Amino acid sequence: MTVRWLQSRSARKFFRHRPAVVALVVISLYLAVAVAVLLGGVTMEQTLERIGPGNLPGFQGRQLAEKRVEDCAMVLDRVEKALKRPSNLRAALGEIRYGLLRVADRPPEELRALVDQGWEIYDELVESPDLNADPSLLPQIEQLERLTGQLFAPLSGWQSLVRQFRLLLGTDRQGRSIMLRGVYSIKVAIQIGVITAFISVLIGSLLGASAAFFGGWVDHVVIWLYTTLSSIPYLVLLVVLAYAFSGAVWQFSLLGRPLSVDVGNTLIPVYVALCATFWIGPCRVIRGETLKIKQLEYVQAATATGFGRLYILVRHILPNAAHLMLINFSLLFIGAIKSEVILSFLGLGVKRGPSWGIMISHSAQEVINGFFWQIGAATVFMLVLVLAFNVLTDALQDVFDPKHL
Amino acid sequence: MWVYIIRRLAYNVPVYLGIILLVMAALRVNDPIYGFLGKNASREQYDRFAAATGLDQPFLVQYVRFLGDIARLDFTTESWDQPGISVGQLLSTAIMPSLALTVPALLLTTLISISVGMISAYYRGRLPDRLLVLLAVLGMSVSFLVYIILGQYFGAFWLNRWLGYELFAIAGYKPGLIHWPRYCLLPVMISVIVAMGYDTRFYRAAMVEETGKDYIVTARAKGAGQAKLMFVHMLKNAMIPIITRVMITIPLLITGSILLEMYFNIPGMGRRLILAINAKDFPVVQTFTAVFAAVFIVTNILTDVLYALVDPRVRLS
Amino acid sequence: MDQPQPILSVRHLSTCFRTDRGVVTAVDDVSFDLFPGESLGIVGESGCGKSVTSKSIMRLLPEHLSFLRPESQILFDGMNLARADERTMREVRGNRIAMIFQEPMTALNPVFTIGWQLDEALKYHTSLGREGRRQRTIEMLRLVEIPNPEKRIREFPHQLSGGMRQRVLIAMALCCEPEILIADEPTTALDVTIQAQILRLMENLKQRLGTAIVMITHNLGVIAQTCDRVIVMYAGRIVESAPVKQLFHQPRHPYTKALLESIPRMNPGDHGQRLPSIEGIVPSLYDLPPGCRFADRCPRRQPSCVEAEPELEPVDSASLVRCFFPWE
Repeated sequence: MTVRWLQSRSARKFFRHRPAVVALVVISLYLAVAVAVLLGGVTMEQTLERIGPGNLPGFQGRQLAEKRVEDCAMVLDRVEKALKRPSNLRAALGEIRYGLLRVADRPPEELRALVDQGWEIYDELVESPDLNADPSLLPQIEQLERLTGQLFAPLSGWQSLVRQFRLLLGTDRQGRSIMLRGVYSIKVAIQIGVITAFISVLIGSLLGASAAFFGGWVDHVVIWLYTTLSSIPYLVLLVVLAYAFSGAVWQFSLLGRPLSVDVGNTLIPVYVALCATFWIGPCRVIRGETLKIKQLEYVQAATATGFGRLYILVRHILPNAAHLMLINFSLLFIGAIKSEVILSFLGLGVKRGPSWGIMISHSAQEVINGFFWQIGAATVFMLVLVLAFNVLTDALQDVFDPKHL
Repeated sequence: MWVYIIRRLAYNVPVYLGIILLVMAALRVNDPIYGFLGKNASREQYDRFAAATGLDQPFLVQYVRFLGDIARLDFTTESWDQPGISVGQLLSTAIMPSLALTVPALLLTTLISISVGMISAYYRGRLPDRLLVLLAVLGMSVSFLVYIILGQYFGAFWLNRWLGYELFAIAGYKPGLIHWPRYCLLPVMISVIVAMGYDTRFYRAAMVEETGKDYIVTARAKGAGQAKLMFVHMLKNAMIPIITRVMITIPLLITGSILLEMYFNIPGMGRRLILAINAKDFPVVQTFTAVFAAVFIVTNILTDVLYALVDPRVRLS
Repeated sequence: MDQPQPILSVRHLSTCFRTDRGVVTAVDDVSFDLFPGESLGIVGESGCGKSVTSKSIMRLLPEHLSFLRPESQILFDGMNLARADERTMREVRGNRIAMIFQEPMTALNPVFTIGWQLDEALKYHTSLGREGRRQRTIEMLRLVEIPNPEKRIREFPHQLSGGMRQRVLIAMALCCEPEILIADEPTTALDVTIQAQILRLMENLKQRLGTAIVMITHNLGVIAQTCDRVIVMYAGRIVESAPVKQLFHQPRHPYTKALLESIPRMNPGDHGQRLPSIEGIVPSLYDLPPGCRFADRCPRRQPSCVEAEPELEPVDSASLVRCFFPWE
C-alpha cells in the first residue's frame, strides 16, 4: 500500500511541495533523536545533574566579570569546605562533581594551596570598586579561572568534547545543561504527542465512523458525548481531571502480582485529560466524511452485494477517511505538545525530569534577571518541531483535502 | 425566529445536564474529603465532614441537589478552604477581573485578525500575503507561555526601566476603569498576539474561499468594485465561518485568561479555580466548573442565533 | 451600403495561465467580430477555451493567475478592453457588456435577497433613486416571466428553483440594457424543458431589446436554435467560423464534421447503429504538437498535417477554416 501511494498522484503533489519535504526531514530527525534518547543516549539523571555554574550563557558567550568571579568563588568554597572534613576527605571531594568534571586526584595540600591562591586573587578582585567596567582586571580573572580549573582532573579529548556539547547552550539557574534538557525533552514531547494523538484519533475515528455508519441511537449518543465534552473549556476539563487524579493510587494485580501505580505522579492524567478533549476533533470530521462516503455508489454497491456492515465499515469506509486521520493526527500532535507546556506551568503536567514546558516555566525567573538561554533553547527546539508539523499539516491538507477551510 | 431560539435552548438542556453529571462524577473519582482532610483523617472526622457537606448522600441525590442550586442560582455553599465565605461570594468577586480580561481580548482579537486576514486575502499570493502567512505560522508555533513570560519582561520590566516610570504593572489588579490600562492592557495585548496567529490564517482562508465563489464573478460582472466585493459580498458570506471562529475563540480565551490570571496575579475566575484545586476546595471546583460550562453553553446558543441572523438558509429552514 | 460596423472586435486574443507546471496558453490567437443585434455562437468541447474567451473579454479572470498576451486587442466602442484599467472595466461590466453564467445555483449570492442583487447593478450604472430602482427591478423580473415579482424580490436565492434563478440572472444582466450579452453555457445546468423556456426567453428579449448575444455552449442544438453565426474552437484555437446554416449543412473542418455526426438523430434507417464518436483525445495544452492540433484524431490526416499548423483562411465569402484539406 505504501509503495502504491508513493507512485500515486497525491504523492507526487506532496513531494513537489518542497517545504513539506523539509518538514518531513526535520520530523524524522526529531524522531531519531527521540529514539536515541529512549535507548539511553541521554538519561534523566544527566538532565538533572549540575554541570557547572548557573546561568552560563551558550556558545561560551561573554559574561560579566563579577559573575565569572562569583562562579569561581563558589567552586573554591565547595572544595574548601570538603577539605575541612579530613575524616572522610575522599568521599567529601568525590561529592563535588560538575558533570564529567571531578576533583583532581592530588594530595590535599596541593588542593589547599590552590584554593588559598584562588582566595587571594578573589579578595583582591572584590576590593575593586567597579569590577565589571575595569578591563585591566581581566588577566587576574583569567588567572583565577585557570586556578579553579586546576582543581579538577583534566578531561580526555572525547570527554572534553562531550562537556563542550553539554555546555553549548549554557546552563540553567541550577547549573544544569540546557542542551541535555532540551534534547531529552524531545523524547518527552514526542512521547506525549504520539500517544495522545494516536489514542485520540483512534477513539475519535472509531466513534465518528460508527456514529455516522450505524446512525440511530449510536449517532445520538456520540453526538451528545462530544457536545457535552466540548462544552467544558478544555483547560478547565484538564485541570479538573488533573485534580481528580492527583494523589490517586491505582492498585491492581497483573499476572498475579499486586501492582500499585501512583497515577498522580505519572503522565496518565495528562493523557486522559488531553485525549478526553482531543478525540472530538477527529470524531466530528470522520463522522462527516463517513456520512458522505456512505452515500457513494461503491459503498451502496457493497451493501447491495450483501457484505456485512462491519466489513464495509472497516474495508471501505475507514481507509477512505485515512487521509483525514493523518491530518488530524498531525494537528493533535501539535496540540498535545503545546498543551504540555501549559499544564506543566500549572504544575499539572510533567512531574519528573525536564520537558519544554518545565524548561519554559522555570525560565520565568531567569528572564527577569535577563537570562534568555533556557527559554530561548526550549522555544527554538519546540518551534522547529511544531513549525514542521504545521507545514506538514498544510501540505497534507493541500494534497488530500483542498477544499478544507 | 423565536421558535428557532427555543429549539436551540431545548437542545442544549440535555447537554448541560450531561456536563454536570460528568463533572460531578469526575470530581468523585478520588475521594474529595480525604483529599481535603488528608489521608490520615479518622473515620469519625470523615463521617462528620461528609454529613455536614451532604457528600454522604447517594450520588443521584447530590446530583439533583446541585442542579437545583444552579437552577435557582443559589451559590451559598460554603468554601472548605475559606470557612465563612460562600462560593457565590468568591464567584462574584472573580467575575469582573475575568471579564476585564476576556471581553476586550475577544473584541480586539476579532477586529484585528479579520482586518489582517482580509489584507492578506486581498494581496493573495503576493509579498505582503506571504509575509503575513509566514509570520502567522511562526507565531502559531511558539508556546503561549513564552509570549506571557517575554511579554511581561519586555512590556513591564524592560519598558518600565527604559521609560523610567511604571506604564504597565508587572502583576496585580485593581478594580475600576482608571486602573484598567495599567493592570489589564498588557495581558490583553499578549492574549491578542497569541490568538492572531491562528485567527488571521483562518480568516484569510475564509475570505480566500469566498474569492473563488461563482457569485463573486457574477458581482464583478455586474460592475462591483474590489471594496464592494470584499466588504459586502464576501464578508457577509464569510460571516458564518467568522462567527464559528469567534465562538471557538471564547473557550480558548478562557483558557488563556487562566494562564494570564495566574501569571499576572489577576484575581479572576481562572485563578480562583486553580487556587481551589491546589487547596482541594471541592465545592469551589465543582461550582466554578459548572459556571464555566454554563458560559460556554450560552455562547453556543448565541452562535446559533447569530448564524440565523446572518444566513437566511439557516433562518428559514 | 457598406458592411455594418462591428460593436466588438476581438483581435489576436491570447490568454495565458500561470500554473505549477509553467505557463499555458488557454486561448491562442482568437479573432472575431460581433455585429449589432447578432447572435454569435462559440462551440467546442470542455477545455477548448470558449469560456476563457468570454471571461477574457469581460476581464474577469483572476489577475494573479492569468494574463493576456500584449498583442491581444478587444475593441469595443473605441476602447481596447485588453488594456483598460479596472475603473473602465467596472463601467463596462454589467452596464454595456453583461454576462450570465452556467451555474444558476451558485452564481447568486446566497445571503442577499434577489431584489438587493438586482438593485446592486442598477445602483452602479443608473442614476435612478431607490423607488425607481425598485420599479425597474420588478419590471425586469416581469420581463423574464417570473410570477409575482413584488414578492420575489424579498426572497433569497435558495428559495427559487434553478430555472427561476437563471431568469433572475438574465434579468440582472439585462437591467442596464447592455449592448452585448455574453451567455456562458446558460442552459447546461438546467432540465431540458426549462432549457427550452430559457432559450425562447433569450430569443424574445433579443428581439425586443436588440442586444447582441455571444452564446457559449458545447451543445450544437442550442447553437442551431439561437445563433446566426458560429465559431468552432478546438484546443484554444478557432478552427472554423461560418453562418449557422452553412455550418450545419456543409461543415468544412473535419472536427466540425465529426462534432455534427456525433449528435444523435432520429432517422428511421439509423436503428441499431452506433453513434459515431471522435477517436483519441485532445492534446494537452502543456504539450502541444507542432502541426495541426486536431491531426491526431483527424480522419483526413496527411503527413504534412503534423509538420505545420494551417492558418485560419477564408474558403468562401462567409466562412473561415483552419485546415489544409477541408471538406468541400
